[in-house]
Amino acid sequence: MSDPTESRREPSTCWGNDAAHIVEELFPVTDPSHWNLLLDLRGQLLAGKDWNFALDLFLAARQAMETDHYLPFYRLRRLLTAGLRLESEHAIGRTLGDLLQRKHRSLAEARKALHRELFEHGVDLPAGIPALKIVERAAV
Amino acid sequence: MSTHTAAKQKTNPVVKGLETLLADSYALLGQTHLAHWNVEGPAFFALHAAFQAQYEELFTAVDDVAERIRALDAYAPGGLATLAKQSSIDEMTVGPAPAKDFVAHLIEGHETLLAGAKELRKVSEEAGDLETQDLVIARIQSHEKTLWMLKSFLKNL
Repeated sequence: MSDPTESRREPSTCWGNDAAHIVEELFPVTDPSHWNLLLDLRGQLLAGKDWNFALDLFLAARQAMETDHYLPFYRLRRLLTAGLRLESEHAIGRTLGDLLQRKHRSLAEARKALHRELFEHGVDLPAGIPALKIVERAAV
Repeated sequence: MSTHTAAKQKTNPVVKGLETLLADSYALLGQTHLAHWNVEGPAFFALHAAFQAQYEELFTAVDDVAERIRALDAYAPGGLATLAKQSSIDEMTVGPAPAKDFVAHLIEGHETLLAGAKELRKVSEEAGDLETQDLVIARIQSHEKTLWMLKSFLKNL
């Protein structure tokens, strides 16, 4: 689990801090059984080191809590797509926004679904489906 | 009204606030209309009708706000491009989306507009312009009521 006392980073944009703040607001309104997941997600959003892990945590948290808390997860989705992108979005013709609109439970599941979808549409990628690597958008 | 008066009023903070309120209201009207057209799913009939009532209310409101600007001896801004530049309401991407996303998007739009309206309420009070303040308070009440309704739709009980 991430250290909740970890100091906030100072990124070029404050989207990560805004997203972490939304996660913090979920603590008092969610079941304590979800708090470890929320703590980990908050820590990853603030640390900004492993965006694939952060996305997997977001997908797991959304799966567990979105039914009762749609608005905060909508806001998180908007912040994540504003701050992050798929490194291979041009090669696969899908954006992170497209991916997050589906209800995948993990990035691995998203990759499998994408593989099936491209196969069904007859899209041939010579090098196969690249790994879904999540990277931060360049600061404007 | 002389050109001199109109130019002077352009820098009046109450007029500037009303221009922002007008631009944001027009943008939100457009987004609500878009939601009315494009919403899909089991809640279609309820949301389609609710969004229509909301954009019709906003259409009346923009007229009241623009006429208040005129009553203050300034000219009301107009035209989609001009108003879009002055508004801070985000636009939703056109395409298939869950009905709840339309509701959540409009909630964010109403929240953005409300923040500006509350600032304008303060500015008009400080300027001693109670008529503008009265208009803005009515707008705040309307947006808070719409927010309550939209947020209620997202609740899972």
